[in-house]
Amino acid sequence: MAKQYGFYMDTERCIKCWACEVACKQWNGIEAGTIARRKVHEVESGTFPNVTRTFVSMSCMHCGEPACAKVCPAGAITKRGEDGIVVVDKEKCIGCHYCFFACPFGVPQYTDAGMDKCDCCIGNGVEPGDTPHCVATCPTQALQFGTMDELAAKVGDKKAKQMAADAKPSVVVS
Amino acid sequence: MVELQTTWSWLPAIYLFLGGLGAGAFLTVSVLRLAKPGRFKKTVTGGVWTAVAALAIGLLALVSEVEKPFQAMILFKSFVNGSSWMTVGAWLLLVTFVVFVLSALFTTDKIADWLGSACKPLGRARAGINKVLAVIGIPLALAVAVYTGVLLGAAPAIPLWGTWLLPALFTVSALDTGVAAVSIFAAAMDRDEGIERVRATLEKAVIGLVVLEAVVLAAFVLTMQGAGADEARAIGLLTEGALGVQFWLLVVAVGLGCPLIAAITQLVASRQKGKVGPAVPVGGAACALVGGFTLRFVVLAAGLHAALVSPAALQAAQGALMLIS
Repeated sequence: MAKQYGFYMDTERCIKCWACEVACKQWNGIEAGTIARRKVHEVESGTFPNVTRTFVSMSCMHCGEPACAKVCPAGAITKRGEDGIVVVDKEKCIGCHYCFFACPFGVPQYTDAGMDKCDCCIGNGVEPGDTPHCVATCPTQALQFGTMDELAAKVGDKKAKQMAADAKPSVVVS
Repeated sequence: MVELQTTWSWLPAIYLFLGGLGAGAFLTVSVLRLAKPGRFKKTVTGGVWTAVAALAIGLLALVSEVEKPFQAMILFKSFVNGSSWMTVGAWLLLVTFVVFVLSALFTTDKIADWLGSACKPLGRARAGINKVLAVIGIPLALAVAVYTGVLLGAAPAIPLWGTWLLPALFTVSALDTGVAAVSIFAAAMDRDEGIERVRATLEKAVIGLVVLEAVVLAAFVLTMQGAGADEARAIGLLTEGALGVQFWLLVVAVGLGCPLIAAITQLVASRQKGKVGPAVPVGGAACALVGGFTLRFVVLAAGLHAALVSPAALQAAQGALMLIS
């Protein structure tokens, strides 16, 4: 199988500082008050007094079989063969919003230029496969990046799970 | 409170409605034209131009929804991915629109006469051309009507839209609104001999289609209620939630109930040799159109995204399937 890069999110380490979100916006030149390619979610579970909060930082999952690319009429979304990163060609995108309705995670967002989502920072000069800025900036190393094999090794014997969907997301969460 | 789906709002709803209406109207007049060639000119002409206008306005609404409308209009550049239903639909709509426009031009006496005088063979072949366009147009119109539902059904992240009942529902509604639009011309403008029988046939078609639509709609609602939590929550918006008034009042009562009552009233009146004014069929048809538009609008608005209903993060932390270690 060809190389597939992805993210590993260690919820035990995340302190919800939003550094990943901020770094992403800063490095990718995203205008304030508009979209966010990466978002930190908070999940509450249990009932009082046994309540836990879990923080999960999520962006595009760079799926093995991206549903967005399948429905895009303009062929603006492609999955790169060499590293499995899913990228958008904004020149081709007509902004029909169809990919939002296909993505199981509602990832695609839109600006006047077209659909916008995570490209593992290759659009702002990071070499494909090098650490994206969200991961580089994470102070607790809760967010990690690598090939799926590398991530599996990092996860070790923790109870980690790959995100589930027909599209085969390349994200592991523990 | 659950928020409604707003990524596709008014404009796509207008397209889904008008696309269906145009397809239904063209289908109705084409059948009439093939059954009774050369007769009921006003009804046929009115219906064909309604189909052209509806599809044109619908396509404008569709194209103004996207972020880059002018780029989208360059079809050979923007609709190239054959695995997307939107690509199939865009080309289908182009071909269908061309057939509708040609049919309208050759149906209208003044234009057809002018074309005939400018190019003699066209004038001689006019009846044949109209027949061919009707025969080609019927399957195309049917495909456009089905496609309005397939477009939504092919979006896998929206639980409410993930059923073949949706294309079925939109197709029946397209025929229903199309027959309604044509019956306005038959009732209000056409005075040809034999139009009474056409009117009665249209009213019978309305009764059949309204009953069929009610059955498909009920099947859609019941299927969604039993399909899963996300589907049930989305359909709940229609049956008892934020869209309840629009659904029960405008879709069910006005859109299905009123046309049915109007059609039955006319059939009963004609059996008893009584007369009802054109207000009854025109009013019934107008109600069907209101119901048809509202149906598209509420189905779009209730199309909650699976990830936003049960957030991605929650799924990540709790519902993942594949264990990596």
